[in-house]
Amino acid sequence: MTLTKRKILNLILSIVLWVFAAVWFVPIFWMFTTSLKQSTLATSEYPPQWIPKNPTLDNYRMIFAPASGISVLQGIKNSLLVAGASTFLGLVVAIPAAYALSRLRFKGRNAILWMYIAILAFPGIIFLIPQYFIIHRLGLMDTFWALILPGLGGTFGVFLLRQYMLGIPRELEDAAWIDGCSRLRFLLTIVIPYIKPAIFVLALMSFLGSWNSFLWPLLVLTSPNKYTLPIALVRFSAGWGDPYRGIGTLMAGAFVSVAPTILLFLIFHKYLLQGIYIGTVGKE
Amino acid sequence: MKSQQEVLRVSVETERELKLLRIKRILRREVGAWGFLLPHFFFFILFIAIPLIYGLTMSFYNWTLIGETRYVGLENYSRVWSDSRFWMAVKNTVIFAIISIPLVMGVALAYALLLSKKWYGRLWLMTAFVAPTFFSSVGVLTSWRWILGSHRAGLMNYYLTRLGILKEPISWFATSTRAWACIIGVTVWWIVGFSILLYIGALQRIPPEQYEAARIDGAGRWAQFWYITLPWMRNVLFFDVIRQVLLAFGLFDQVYFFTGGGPAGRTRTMVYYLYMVGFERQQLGRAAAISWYMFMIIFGFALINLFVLLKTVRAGAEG
Amino acid sequence: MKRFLVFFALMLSLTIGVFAQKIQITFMTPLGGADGAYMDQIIQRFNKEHPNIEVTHLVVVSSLEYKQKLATGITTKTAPQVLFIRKHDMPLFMEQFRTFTKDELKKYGIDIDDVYPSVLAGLVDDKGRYYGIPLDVWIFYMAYNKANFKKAGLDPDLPAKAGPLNREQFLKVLEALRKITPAGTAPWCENPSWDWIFVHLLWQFGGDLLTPDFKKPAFEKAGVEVLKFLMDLQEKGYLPKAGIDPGPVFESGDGSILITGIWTINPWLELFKENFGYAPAPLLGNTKAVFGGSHVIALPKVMVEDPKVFEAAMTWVKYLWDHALDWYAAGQTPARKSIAESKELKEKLPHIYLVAQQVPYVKTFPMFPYVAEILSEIVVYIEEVLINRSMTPEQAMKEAAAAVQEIIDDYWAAQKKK
Repeated sequence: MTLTKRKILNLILSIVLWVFAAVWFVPIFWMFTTSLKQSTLATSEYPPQWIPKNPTLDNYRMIFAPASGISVLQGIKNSLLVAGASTFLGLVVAIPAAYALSRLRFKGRNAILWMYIAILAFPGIIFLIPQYFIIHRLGLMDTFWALILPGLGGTFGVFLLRQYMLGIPRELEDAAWIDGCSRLRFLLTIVIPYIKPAIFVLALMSFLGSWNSFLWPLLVLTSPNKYTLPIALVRFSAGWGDPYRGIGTLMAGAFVSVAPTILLFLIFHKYLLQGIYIGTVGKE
Repeated sequence: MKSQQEVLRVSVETERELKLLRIKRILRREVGAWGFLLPHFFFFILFIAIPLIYGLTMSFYNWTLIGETRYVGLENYSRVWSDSRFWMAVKNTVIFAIISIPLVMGVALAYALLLSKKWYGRLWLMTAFVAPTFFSSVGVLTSWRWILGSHRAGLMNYYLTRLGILKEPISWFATSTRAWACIIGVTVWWIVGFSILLYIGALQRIPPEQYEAARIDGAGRWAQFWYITLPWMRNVLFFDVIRQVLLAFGLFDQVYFFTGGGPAGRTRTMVYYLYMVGFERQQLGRAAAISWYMFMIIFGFALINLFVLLKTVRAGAEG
Repeated sequence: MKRFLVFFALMLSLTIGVFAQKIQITFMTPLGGADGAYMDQIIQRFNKEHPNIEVTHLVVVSSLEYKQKLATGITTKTAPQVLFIRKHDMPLFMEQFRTFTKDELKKYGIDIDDVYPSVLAGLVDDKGRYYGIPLDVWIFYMAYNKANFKKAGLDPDLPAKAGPLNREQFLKVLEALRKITPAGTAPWCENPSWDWIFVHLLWQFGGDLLTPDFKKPAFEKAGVEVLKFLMDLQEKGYLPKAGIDPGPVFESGDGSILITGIWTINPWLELFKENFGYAPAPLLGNTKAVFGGSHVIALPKVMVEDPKVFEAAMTWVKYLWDHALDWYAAGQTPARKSIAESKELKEKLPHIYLVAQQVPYVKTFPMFPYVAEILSEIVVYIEEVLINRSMTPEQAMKEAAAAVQEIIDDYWAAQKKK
């Protein structure tokens, strides 16, 4: 009796959830529909058409047509390289730092921790110009390093990982000590698997941050063959004075730029959902 | 007597040795810890700390990139202090933050709790909720501005008039309350995805035995949520509060796309002011001064939020 | 295999050789969307015709980002070599531009006297040197829906035939259109608080944003009149009472009239076909004026110090000057008399020709660096009147003038001590 009742309740709940997800997805579907319409027709139609009457791929064609000097395909390649490298190197420096700030004891730890957190309260744009001059001084203008290195100093990821690492049970660490496990091995074999979901989320965040960033690459890059995707796509943004001008192409551009990241998410999502049950045995 | 002295000597010796050993150990610990921290710390000093100190210094100058730089003392600070536009922007942003932060976190928590259970097609449900976060501002916001368009064929107007809720098409950004409601709604839709992912990641780590034990003790669902789920998520919530504060105080794109700060400046935000008075003018010294004000406001606000969080959410077993 | 390798090496060295000779010119423009595509075509043709120069088109639409790229680029000498810059984005950078004397320009085949003086205003220094070369004018015009005119019993060709409509005619047209406009929409479907419309009317009502020395606001008196005029239109149902998006309302056929920028003319011709009407902007005040701006070709001084680069840059500038007509096809009006009044324009681009008749009395923003900020401040008070109805026009303009004075003082305080 209660079991069937529970089943019915679950069914209702899952239907509600699906409806919510559908509603949540509507604007994105609408964006996609729009990308298949001719811009001027899209803004003038009444009533709104969910399935375009005369779908066209012109918008996508236009984006990949070789415009003078700046290619979107090259932009995708550059952005993949830069975002991939930023994400990887970011994790390489952030994971040990987070480990030090969460599990190790040393002088000045709390001071550094609070400095790392406090610095986040400054608006990011304020670092832009000084960083620009540092990159110039280092002779890194117009290189991919200029896009990768400044992000490595960000404290956001360190802070995120630290918060997850705090959750690692003490007993686990003590057991490792007794086994004579070095700290580096402990980090690699216990800590990293334990915080896999956090690493996944952080990787996603830094990848997206680098992928979508526009102003910084615009300032430090000068060679067209190094331009990242947002710079190559900005020419397809709306014309001036009217935000809807060329809306079809704009939406097509949005989808071209979002497709790779969604794909990566679908490939790697399992790291998020992996439950970590090791080491919980000792808990009372 | 003699033996006693000997024992004393030996103990002093071992003590000294022990002390040396301890110092050695501490030294190794310190150096080792710094070894872990150093790679990041290096980049932190180079790309965050130095620029910040540089910025602080420049806030006392009239600094444009292409003109000459001139010392002006506290003028940048006093001009911002006496600018009513700045305080208006602060007020707007704080109100936005107070409403949007709990909203985003609440919605994210609800979805995360639901999604951490096994559902048919859970991956696709999750993708639907998370997908908006993947888009950069231009596409998403243009589309929303159009959905909330004032014309008959704007989706919101079209369906609400069809359903008879509205008599005629309305302008969604006409009054400041309505404009804020739209901005907040779209913001939640747009940024909630990452919080969902963060929370799911945290929920995965709660050992199922905890719930089993609680169930045996006769704890209801609400009690389980309050005494197990939340405490186990405390560290992650701590992080997300700070993230949300930063996002809320960084509010710019939504406003810029939807209202341009209107009606009558009632949706202008701090970052909007920073762009207008700092970067549009290329007055970078002024921008630095504004940033310091913003730092103090944001940091203060974050501390209050953390205090509230730590008071309401019981410390978890995870400590 | 060996032969192939030798051949390959030869080809490689050849291409590198050719490549090395090429002078790279980055051309930064704010042209998004279809405008950018027109410019791309011109660039592609130029690159084909000039094998030793390669022009790359860098688009940065937002003014803020455009200026940031320019400022940082100039300090590190990594800026684009040639700019296509909105005239009102120039004032901050005046000292950074390579200036030209009239004769020097003539040497390159550019006759600057051909450009309308109204467009050149503010682009000449006190020694008669030019900061840049205006290529086009983007100007306001009146777009209207001919089908709606017919429905309202109006002559659909009236605005085009009569020259600019006067106030009385304009009001009569609006009254007729109001009757056929669906509820919730107004025939003149403009966002009432659009700052450019306000400035456009301000000039037509004989006011100006600032005094000529940029020391004081000068919009208070005429601004009150403009606001009263617009309020009157709102009360009669001719103009919306809330902020709206004009484009979709007009394109759906609900609204009938817009006074807006020339850049909209191509997509609307394509959309409405024979039902699209275009005419000079109506003259609604006591002064003959129309709102406009210009895209100016300018060279950052530090980027063209190398004579080779300078020559290459000027080759490209001259090419643009000669092929301006291809650019006007994108929906821009000529900045030059010889083209604006030419038969060629009348035949090739009749719509542009008609609108270009207003260029002699076009007005552009004063060359004051903080104009954008001043406008955004005025809009606050316009909205208090036209949307919130929480201030009288007199009150609003008085407070707006005070707020603008503060910004102006802030500017001069920074200048004086230099």
